[in-house]
Amino acid sequence: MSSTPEPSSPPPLGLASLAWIFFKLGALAFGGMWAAMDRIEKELVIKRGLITKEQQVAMMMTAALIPAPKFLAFGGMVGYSLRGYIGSCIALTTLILPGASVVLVAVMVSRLGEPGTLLGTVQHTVGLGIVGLLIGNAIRMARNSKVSWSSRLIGCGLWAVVPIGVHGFGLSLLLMAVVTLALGAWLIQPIPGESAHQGALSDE
Amino acid sequence: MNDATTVGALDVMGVIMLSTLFSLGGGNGQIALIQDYWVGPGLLEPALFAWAYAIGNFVPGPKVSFVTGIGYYMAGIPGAIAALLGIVIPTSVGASIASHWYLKFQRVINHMTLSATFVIAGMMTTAAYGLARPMEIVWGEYAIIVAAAIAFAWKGLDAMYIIGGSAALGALIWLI
Repeated sequence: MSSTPEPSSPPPLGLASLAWIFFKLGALAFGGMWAAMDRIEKELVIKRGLITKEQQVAMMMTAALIPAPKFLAFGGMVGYSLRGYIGSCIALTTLILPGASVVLVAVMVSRLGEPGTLLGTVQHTVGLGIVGLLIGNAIRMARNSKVSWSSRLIGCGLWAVVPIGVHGFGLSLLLMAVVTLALGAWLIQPIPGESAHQGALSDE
Repeated sequence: MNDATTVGALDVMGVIMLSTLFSLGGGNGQIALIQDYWVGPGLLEPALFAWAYAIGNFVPGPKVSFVTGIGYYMAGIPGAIAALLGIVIPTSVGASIASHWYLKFQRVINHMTLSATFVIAGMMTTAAYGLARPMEIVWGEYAIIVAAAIAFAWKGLDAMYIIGGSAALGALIWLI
């Protein structure tokens, strides 16, 4: 990435307008940040000219690399570039609010189904699907990483060590994560000329 | 709702804030930490956890909004608000720092991402095992898990379709 979003001089955009723009994005964009790329571009770049296309791409790439949910981090970065820290807070709060409200209402009105009932059976198979989804997500992350073969072997070893340590030896997940992260940072090397971006960007 | 007396809104905010640090590269690190802190020790039913996560995939906006449902299950409405704050506060700080100082830390972040990819894969596998263990899975049901994993990892199918398909299959099984 050659450029990074710099806080620009604030355009004439009020906090209420900022909140409304991100509320609309949060209410209408489905499928995560990358799936919503066109809608984001239409709203922020084409319709309102708040950021350039290049800034949008740079912010999306950066959002994928910092420890935070990508779509939210992107919203926070746009908000920051327009109105500083307050803008960042407002943008990402209003971005998550529509989805969070729907989730809240849904969990309040639904309940845990008894085994053998329609709801209970559906919840059970959804649980199975999510177990598969987690495993699939883990595989996809490891597959997409741009590292050498020797580093990939080490990485797969670290991947296996975490569940074995936690479920096999009762070690703390946090401890295992920190230790393996440090070990990985020491041992895992990228393929020369490749960037870590590509692996990170392909996951959603 | 589960045993709300053992987990307060501040605990919810703390765990969600901590879990946000493991979202590097879109890794859904929240899932692993929530599983470890609440599902594993029996404070949250695995089915409720999976249910909130599933709903989160069907709503607009960031998929991480499912944490609001988890917060509600753990500590009611204050828990839901705490979960939201637990996501918003560290993300706004991280986004602001990244906007300001990204170039300075770019190399370190890139290097950590390589390692984090595998570690978060391990955390997700840990969460998957922890979620599956109390579910009393019968042999035939492993096919659903394998199919979902393949569909996501190799076919790139969106999570929404996988969860929707699993729900439809559940309804079909119930009808039969």
